[in-house]
Amino acid sequence: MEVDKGKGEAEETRKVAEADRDTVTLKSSDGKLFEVSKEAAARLSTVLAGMIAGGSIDDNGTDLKQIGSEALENVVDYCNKHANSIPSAALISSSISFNTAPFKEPEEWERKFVDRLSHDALFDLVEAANFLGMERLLDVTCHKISEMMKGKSPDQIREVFNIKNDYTKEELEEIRQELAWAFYDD
Amino acid sequence: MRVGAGPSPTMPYTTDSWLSRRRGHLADGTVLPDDVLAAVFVRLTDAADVLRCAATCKRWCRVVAKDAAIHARLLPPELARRRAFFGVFSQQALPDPVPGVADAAYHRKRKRVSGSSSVGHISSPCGLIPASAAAYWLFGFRSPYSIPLSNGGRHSALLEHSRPVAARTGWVVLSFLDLCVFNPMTGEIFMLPSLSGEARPRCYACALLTRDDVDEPLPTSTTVFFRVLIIYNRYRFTAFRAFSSETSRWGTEVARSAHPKIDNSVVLRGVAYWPLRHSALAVWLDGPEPCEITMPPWGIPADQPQSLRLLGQQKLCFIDVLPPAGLPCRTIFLLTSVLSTVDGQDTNMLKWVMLHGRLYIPEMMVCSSDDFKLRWFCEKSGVILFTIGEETTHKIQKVVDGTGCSSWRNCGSWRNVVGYEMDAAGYLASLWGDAMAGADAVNSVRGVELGRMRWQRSDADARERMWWPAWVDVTVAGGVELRVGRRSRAQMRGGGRSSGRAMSHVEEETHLWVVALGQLCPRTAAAATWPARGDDPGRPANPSAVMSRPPAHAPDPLYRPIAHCTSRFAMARGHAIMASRAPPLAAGAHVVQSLSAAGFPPTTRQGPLLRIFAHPRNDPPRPTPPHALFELGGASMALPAPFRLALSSSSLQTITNTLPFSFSSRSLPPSSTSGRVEQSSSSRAANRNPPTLDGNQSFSPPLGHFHRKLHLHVEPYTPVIPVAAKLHDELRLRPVNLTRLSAPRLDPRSWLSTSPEQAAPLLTVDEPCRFATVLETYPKRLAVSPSSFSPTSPASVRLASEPRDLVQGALADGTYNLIPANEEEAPEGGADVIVIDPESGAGVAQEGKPRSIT
Repeated sequence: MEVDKGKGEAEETRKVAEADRDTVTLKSSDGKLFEVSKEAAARLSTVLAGMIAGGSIDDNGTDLKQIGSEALENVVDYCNKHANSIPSAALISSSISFNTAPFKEPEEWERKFVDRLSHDALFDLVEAANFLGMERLLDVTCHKISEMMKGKSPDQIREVFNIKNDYTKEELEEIRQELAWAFYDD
Repeated sequence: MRVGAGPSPTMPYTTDSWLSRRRGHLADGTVLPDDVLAAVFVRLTDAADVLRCAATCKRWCRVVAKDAAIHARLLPPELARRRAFFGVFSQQALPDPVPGVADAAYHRKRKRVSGSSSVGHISSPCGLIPASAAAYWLFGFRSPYSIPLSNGGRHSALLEHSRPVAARTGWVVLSFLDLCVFNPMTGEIFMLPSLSGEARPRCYACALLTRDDVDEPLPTSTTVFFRVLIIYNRYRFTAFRAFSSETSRWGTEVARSAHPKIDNSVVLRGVAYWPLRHSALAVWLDGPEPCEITMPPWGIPADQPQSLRLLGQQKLCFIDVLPPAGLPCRTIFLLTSVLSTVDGQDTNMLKWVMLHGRLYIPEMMVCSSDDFKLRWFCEKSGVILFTIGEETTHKIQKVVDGTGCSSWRNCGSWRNVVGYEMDAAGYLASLWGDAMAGADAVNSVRGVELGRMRWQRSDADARERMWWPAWVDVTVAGGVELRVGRRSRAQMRGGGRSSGRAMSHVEEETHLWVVALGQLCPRTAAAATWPARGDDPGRPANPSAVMSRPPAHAPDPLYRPIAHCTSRFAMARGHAIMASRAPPLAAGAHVVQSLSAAGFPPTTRQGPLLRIFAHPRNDPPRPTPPHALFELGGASMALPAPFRLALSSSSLQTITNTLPFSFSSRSLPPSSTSGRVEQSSSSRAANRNPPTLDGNQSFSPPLGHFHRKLHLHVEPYTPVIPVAAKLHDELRLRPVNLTRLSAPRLDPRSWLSTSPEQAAPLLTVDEPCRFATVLETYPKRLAVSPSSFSPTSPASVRLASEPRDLVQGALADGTYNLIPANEEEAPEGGADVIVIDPESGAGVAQEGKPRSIT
């Protein structure tokens, strides 16, 4: 009996542990902890999937030193929302490099998700997505950023992205001259 | 036998080429890292958006340039095409060819080779001669400016001793021990696996199929795609074998019965063609295994030597040069045989249709067809490379490009001539080359390039030709410094032409005109600044047409070559450099007038085009001397009625009559003047008003204009490095050894000589490049447009009449819209003949138009 009971307890603890492992705890650079479902994490992030498969997930919070808490919150938020939405098969299968994978237009909720972000938050998020290998999130955020660039003059782009112009005046003039057709609208 | 047990062929090595060097990460710009930025840019669907992003900062620019191959797909096709022709790969035969020299023709003749890929022999390095470099030839130098491929890096030896065997849209196939496929713009090298033992071919011809040849879009994950087909003769049969980048291996050998002698190929829609005696050999390359395609077995007259035959493409055509009948003439007869379908029959029925054409080249005299050699057909740009004689290589190039035409001399020793065209990615990547390069690079490149522009003459010449400056030096630092010097009065004495004039006149009238009309830059040369073809047929499409001839009021023959130079440079939107005897102002006005007539420059620029500085003595030129004498150009470059530039003893002054320029004219402060322009003993000129000039009226400069020396520092407002030059710089290459080529030695110390007297050593060069020489060779220099068979306006010719378009198209711009014979009746008389004779044009402004059409 004792043995049996002990066995039962052991099973229970294992169950608890398994239940624990349904979620992954992620730790941001500033030490905040976030939980995300393991299934969503593995599906959406190639990096997390690799860590889960490789067993390098720390129950006390996997350290993601490169990602700030705000960005990580958005990532987790995205994962949760994504788990609620209907995952499309094409999305999952397309796990090629983000540079080359065929891009699918962001869905409505994804659009709203990125639209509410400030520029800084968006940039942080895209970096986090890049770091975690989240193809779809990267798609969506990059799409958003590219929309911010479209139809803008270099000056406007510099303003939006806070770029310091390191061209000399002559160089700029040269570029404008060569690419006159691309600068028609400013 | 394998070069480097490196990674698989599809994993490129990347050499430290000028493009790849830009890819370093810099922490400027926004927080977004490069890879994220790249991902964002890829999402952009309009090339203009991408380019504007690239124009924001240098890091973004780098990111765009890195993915140039992807973004290039968005480029408008005409833009990607415009600059297609980039240069010529060639090797110079060594003076005394030794076995193993990478000279296929030599080997074939002697039949003692173990294959084109002979091992370990020293060959002259393969170099790229950029099209832009041809411009420097106009100054009388013997050798084209060649850029060796090797960069002192990992593959230095490989690149240095390779032999170019094929090139196509940005890629070139080099043969060393094995074949490798090299992209000089990006530095990528793919080593093909060895073919060893039995499989190793001896001599082979090679064709390259690139991404551009594939109709259906490749999977986006395919970053590099090419196929290499080699065709070679075995003992009893001909075989071919293809390498595909997808499988990274050579396919099986496919045999063919005949034994053709083949050389260069063209590739058209996935099929590589080689000219045969009566027809063409066609091998379909765009499949898993190469297979031969049946061609009409006859139809090409076989009495042509191989050297006079080239395959053109778009619609496959043979281009044959018919030998001139005995006497030297300026006309090359061309026979174009076009493959076309026979109507009403089986659609597979093809036959060769012949079209005759005549190419009139006013600047060139062809003595016999023996000298004539067609070398290469550039498929994208429609450039035909051919050499004439042992001495000359002429390049025919479309004028519509705006790059105009240029000629090279003394290229008879060239071997393995392979025309190189950029692909769209290369073009895109090159767009920001200037912005990426540092100021040091600018200066050093300029030093190499422009330092060669120097004329010198001996004392004897000085006596003979009174009006030519004793020496003219163009050296470089941050801009172009132009030094005009005279030797001394005594040495100038006795000039026959000017004997009636006072000596002071002689000195005054040494003028060198510098009209910098942009940058001497191949990149901008082809920019969309010239009137595009068809824009306005009424006016000359190219200033060269206008300027290739001296004006009537400048009868001095010395004027002529300079004007020629001027026109070339102007054509390239470069510095128009012009020297003339009196009346200099008239000449200067003429240049500007001519340019004005040509609608030059059509684009508006902010800021001045040119600043001219007086330079303190002969000090090493500084990038920007403090006192700009004046600036030319401005925001409203509506160009120029005559403008005036007069040199007076104390200052340079600009006299604007009709005020076309926004001049800022300043006199030098007296203190600075004394050091810069040596005062003439005659004080008259200082008090005299600068002379003015109207129209073509000749102008006699005041006495004591300037006596000894004037140092002008001319600085183009927008420093730009030629792409080619940049290539040179980044590859860390050595300038050509001028001494061996009997060109004037360039001794930097001599540039710094402080007086004309001390400059005397300059005049004792091995073989001075004199203007007399230039005059002699002038008739050989050429500019021809295949698009219209004339160096003049393609548009105006085209409008002339319809059937002509048949032939024009055949050689023209890559669109060989040739009409099958049954649709279009052959013109009466059998031949389409277009004769354009700019030489006989009376008025300068009319020279660009075709004069007679027979």
